[in-house]
This record gives sequence, C-alpha cells and structure tokens, in this order.
Amino acid sequence: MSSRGLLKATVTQQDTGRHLFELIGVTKRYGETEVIKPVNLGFPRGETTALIGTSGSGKSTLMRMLIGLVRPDSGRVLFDAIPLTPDNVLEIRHRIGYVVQEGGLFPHMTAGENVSLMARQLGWSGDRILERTRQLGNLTHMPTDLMSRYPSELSGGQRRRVSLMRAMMLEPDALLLDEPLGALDPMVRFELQGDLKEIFLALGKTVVLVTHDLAEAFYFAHRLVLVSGGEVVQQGTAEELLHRPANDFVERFMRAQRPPVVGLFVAGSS
Amino acid sequence: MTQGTLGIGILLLVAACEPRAASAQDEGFTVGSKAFTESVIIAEIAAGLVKGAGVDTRHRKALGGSRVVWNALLAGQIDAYPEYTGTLLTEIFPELSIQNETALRSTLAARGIGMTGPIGFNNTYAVGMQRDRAEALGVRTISDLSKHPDLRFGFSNEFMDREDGWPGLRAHYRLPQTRVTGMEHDLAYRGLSTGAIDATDVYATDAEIERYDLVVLEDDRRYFPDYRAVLLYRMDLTERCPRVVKTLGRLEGAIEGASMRRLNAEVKIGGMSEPRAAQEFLADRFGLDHEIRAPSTWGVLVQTTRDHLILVVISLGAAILVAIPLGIVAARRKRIGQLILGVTGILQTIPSLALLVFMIPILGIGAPPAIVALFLYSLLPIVRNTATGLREIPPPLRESAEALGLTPFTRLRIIELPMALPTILAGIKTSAVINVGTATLGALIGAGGYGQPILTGIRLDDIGLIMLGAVPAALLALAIQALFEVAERYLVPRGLRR
Repeated sequence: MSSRGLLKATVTQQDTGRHLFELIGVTKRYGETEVIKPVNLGFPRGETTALIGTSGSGKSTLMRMLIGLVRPDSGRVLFDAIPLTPDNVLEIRHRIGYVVQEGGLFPHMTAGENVSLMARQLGWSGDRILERTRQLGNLTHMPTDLMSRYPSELSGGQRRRVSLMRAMMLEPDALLLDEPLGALDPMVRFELQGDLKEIFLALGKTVVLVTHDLAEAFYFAHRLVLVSGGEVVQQGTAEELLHRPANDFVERFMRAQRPPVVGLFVAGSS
Repeated sequence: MTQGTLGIGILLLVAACEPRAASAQDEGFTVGSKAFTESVIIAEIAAGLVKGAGVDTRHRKALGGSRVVWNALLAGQIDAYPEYTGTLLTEIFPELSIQNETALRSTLAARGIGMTGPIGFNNTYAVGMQRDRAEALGVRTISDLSKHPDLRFGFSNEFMDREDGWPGLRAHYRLPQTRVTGMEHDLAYRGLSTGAIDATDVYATDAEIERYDLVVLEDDRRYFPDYRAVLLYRMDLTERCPRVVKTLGRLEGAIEGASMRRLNAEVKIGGMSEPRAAQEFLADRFGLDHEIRAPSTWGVLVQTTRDHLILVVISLGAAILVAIPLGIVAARRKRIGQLILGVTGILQTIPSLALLVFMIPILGIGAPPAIVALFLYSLLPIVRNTATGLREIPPPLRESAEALGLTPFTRLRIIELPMALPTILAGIKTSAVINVGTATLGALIGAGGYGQPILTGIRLDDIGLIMLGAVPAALLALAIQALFEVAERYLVPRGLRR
C-alpha cells in the first residue's frame, strides 16, 4: 500500500529534498489572537498527510499557508524548496490543486467552464482541454456529458467530482483538500471516499487534507499531524498516534473520536 | 422612488424651451422668464417686440425662481428678463438696503446689468373690493376705508402675519375695523363675491381681479412698497445689439395695471397660451403682426422625450462608469468604502431643487447642470449594490478563485463581477427609475424634458398638459424597468438566476 516509488518523477524530485512543502517557524496572529504559534512542519513528497484537530485548532490556517492564501507573520513557506513570495505565488498555485470545503464551484459557470477555467487562462488549445477533461472524467468517474450543466444542476457528489477535476486540470504536483467529504450524505460519501483513495493512489501525488474526522484521516493518510491551539502536538502514523500518544491530549483526542471499526481502514502502515 | 414621484409631482415647465445651455452670447437675443404666468407673458411680449425689430430672438421660458433667472442673466445665458423693483431690493440685494432708483441702477450697473424704465404696472400687495360694493360705499382709496369701521376684512394668512402686511397697514392708515380674519386666498375671493367679507389682500395684477370684477383701492398714503415691473438686461447688449436695448425701451409705460390683469386673466382663466396673449397685445398696442407657431401635442411629446432621454442616458451612463469602480473600491477597502458610501449618501439627501440651484453658478442653466445633478443622485444605489454584491460572494468561492492562481484583476473580471452582476443590475435599475422621475425637475432650470409640460400644466391648472408630461414619464420608467429585465435575462448566466 505504500506510495513510495509509484512515480519515477517523484524519485528524482526526492533528490532535492524529502518534503514538497515545508513550513519553517511560521506564526500568525489576528489581532490579539495567536492563531499559529511557531510551527515547523514538512510534507513528504508522494504521501498523503492529514491535518487533524478540533475546529479552531489552526489546521485550516496551516493548509492555507501552503498555497499562499494566508501569509505568515514570520517564518517561511517552501514549495519544492522555493520560498513563497508575492512574485511567485501565482505560478506556484498553478502547480497545486486546491479544493475548498463543499467544492467552491463558481455558480455562474458550467461544470466544464469551471474545470477548464485555468487552462483557458493559460492559453491551452481546445483539443488539449477536451482531452484532459476526458481523462479527468474517467479518473473521477464523472460523466463528461454533464459538463454543460451548471453546478446548481448537479448532485452533491457530482459537484465534488467536478471540483476535484478543476483542481487537477493543470496536472499539479500536489492536492490540498479541505474537508473533502464534509456535508455529504452517507451513501455518496462512501462512494466518493473509495474513488478519492483510488485517485490518490493512481496519481501518487503529494496530498494534504484537513479533516476533523479521524476515520477519514485514517482511511486516506500515510501520516497524521494533530494540531491544537496553533501548535503541532504530534505527528506520525496512525499507529504511532494511537499507541504512543505524546501526551494526554493526544490520547483523549484519539479515543474520543475513534470509531470501533477504525482499525480496518488504517492506511500507510508499513 | 420618493424623489421620482416628487419630481413628477412638483415640476412643471414650458414646452418650447431649449435644453442646451447655448450661451446667449452668440448671435441674437435671448430673453428669459420666471416660472409664473405674468413673467412669461411679459418676456413673450418683449421677445415679440425685438423680433419685430428684425433681431433673431428666442425666449427661454419659466426658468425658475428669481435667483435662478438672475444668475442666468449674470452668467450671460440670457440677455434680459422681466423683474420687479421690490424683488430686486428684498430678494436680490437684501443686504444692501438700497434707498432709491439711482442707487439701484448703479448697483446693477456695477454688475454689468441695465434696467429699463418701469413697464407700467406695479404688482404690489393691494387691497381689493367687489366693484359694486366699493362704488356703493364710495370707497376709492385705502384711506376711504376708515370711514366704514363695520367692514369685514378677510386676509390671506401670510398677509395677516407679515409685519408689512395687515399690522403695518392698519397702523399706517389707522384703520378702525375689528372684524378681520385670516383665510385661504381662494376662499377670500369667494367670500368677496358672496358678501361674506368686504375686502381682501390681492396682488395688484392678479387675474382674479378681472374674474371677480374687483377694484384695487388706491394706496393713497403710499404704504405698500413698489413692485414696479422693469426689464433687466445685460449692458453688453448696448454694444452687441444696440437695436435691442432701444426696442426694449419701447415697453416703458406700455403695460398698465389693467392691461396686465387682462393678460393674466386671458391665460390663467381663459386658457389662452402666453404667446397668443402676447401676440394680441402686440398687435393692439404696437400694431405688430407676428405669427406664432404653436407646437402640436405630438411635437411637444417628441421634443420632451428627446430632451428627457438625453438627461437620463448621459447622467445614468456616466454614473454607471463612475459608480461601479467606486463600489469595487468600497468593497475592498473598509475605511475608504465608508467614506465613499457616506459622501454619495449625503449627495442623495440634498434636496433636488437645492442641488439644481447650486449647479447654476457653475454650469449655468439648461441640460448640463441637470445632468450633473442627476449623475450625483444616481451614484449611491449603484455604488452600494456593487459593494454589497461583491461583499456577498461566499468566502470559499473567493478563496477558490485565488487558489487557482488567477490574478486579482482576472478574478474581479471573470469571477467576482459576474457573480455580483444581479445585485449590480438591481442598483442600476433603481438609479434609472429615480433618474427618470427626478429628471422632470430639470425643467425648473431650463433643461427641458417631461417636466416642462408638467410645470406649465401646474401653472395654468391644465390637467391635460400635466398628463402630457406625467404619463410619458411613468411609461418611460416602466419601459426602463422592462429593459433591465430583458437585460438580466441575457447578461445573468443561468447558474445565477433565482
């Protein structure tokens, strides 16, 4: 089940550093509130990392920093060993796919227009866009004849698939997902989570997802990062967090959320 | 909407005034008038006389109140207009306490304005009585009233209250009457004819004096101030067109009080048009035979529609171009946004008439000041809706657009503005409807449009004429509403329609 070595490209990239994303001593405060205390964190290439924690813990803020939506007050954000700056952030964003909670499709554009938006901006040819859309449709199990519909005319599950297609259009090096299965009904959720996992495995990309659902994190991620109060409390595999909790809080967090069948879905165990 | 409705309601004007603020300095002679019948008639007579002398002449009718027309004269947008000496002293130069005609003339001359000798009548306050009653009592002058202490007086409320009204009159003439009541002016006229009262206050040239067959009692101890009619003109006419000044001089002493009363009655009671009344007077008094062209209803409609559309389209178009960028800034910068909304909001609260009058010293009369005023009024709804529409875009969508790596300008162009479009269109629609209504007020300062027939209709109490402006104005507002609904269908993408 390990993703290591799945893509040759990943192997060569690994020579420049084990981590695709790196947060080095980043902090953030909004007014009086310290949202992120100094955090150092790396995201290994080709692996799926889940940022977990209670709401308000700072996990979403950390993910937003990776793509430059939140600029740290101090510290640095590296992507592929390059520090994020206002000058290069647009280019770097083209190499990262980001799916916000509930998908974030633009309601005034059809599914197809949403998916091809950035490719059209970058001047891709119509044929290339069509071909890529077809590939992505296959990958995400999204029928391409629904591409002329507006988001309001699609089901919740279909919208998530379209969001995913949009995020992957430019063949990004990494995917960031904020609560990818949030607010879906159980059947759709079950179907989509299987498909998502398949996609992650097939691509072998670096994936970062934010979730408050531990089962989801176990199911998708090689590594978990537990965030609380703007700090990383513990990181490691699911087993490490379960069996060797760094402190009381980790133990309570894991136990409180752990559903009885969680063990069956543990991913990334070596 | 309030302003719109108000606009249609209050405004009026005359059908033949040109909407463009062409300067009177070019060729020919332009006479102006205030927005009441007597002023329009005198100006019409002056225009006819000058035209008879072979000078290209036009009349910008019923431009507004004294200040408006005076400023238009100073600015050179008109060359002359009829004025009253009392108005000059009390309204135009209230701070100067001018004592006599010589002082008045030099005050005017210092401003480049000349004044003809009195035209004849003196439109001051006066006391009127039923003719037969006055003759029966042998009352000819105000002094004569003191011989009849039992007479009942009914004065207008304003006259009762003013220091220079009844209190001053009573003291000046030592009038003994005690049965004195305040009442509506119209009721006072009726009271005279039924014998409920014996005397009331009138303006010396009121049309009603003819209608009710009243006599104006002579102010034998000269209590009431003079409101002698004169023509004011720009002194540069003397060089530019000396013939005009000479011709205007022919009006001196030409219109007596009785003539003026008859002319007023012909128009206000007899329903004659001012040009027609003026034409008859000119033929009668000066043997002048000039033809007048009465605009057809259709012609008035076409002309006022054109003028109105010019006002609305230009002011609204400019407002859209300015307000949308302002709204974008307001949505992005909280502080500046508050400032922008504050200023455009304050503009909205300035009464339309005041705003129009403020514009006159800067832009003169006619369409330009009206367009600027309408432009200022149209800003707020568009600015506010643009800012609201942009702010209401859900943060996850804004974040998605940013995360895709779109530049800020592209995000605005293809994501944010299209999503805010329904709200922005609603703002433009609001502005357009307000604009169509308020534009009727433009007629007050000579901008033309549907306000013209409305104002004239109000002045002449002619419902048909009021309808000729009010109905098209309402239809235009509806048409614009419909136009925006169609536009929404084409402009707003299916995914955003509710």
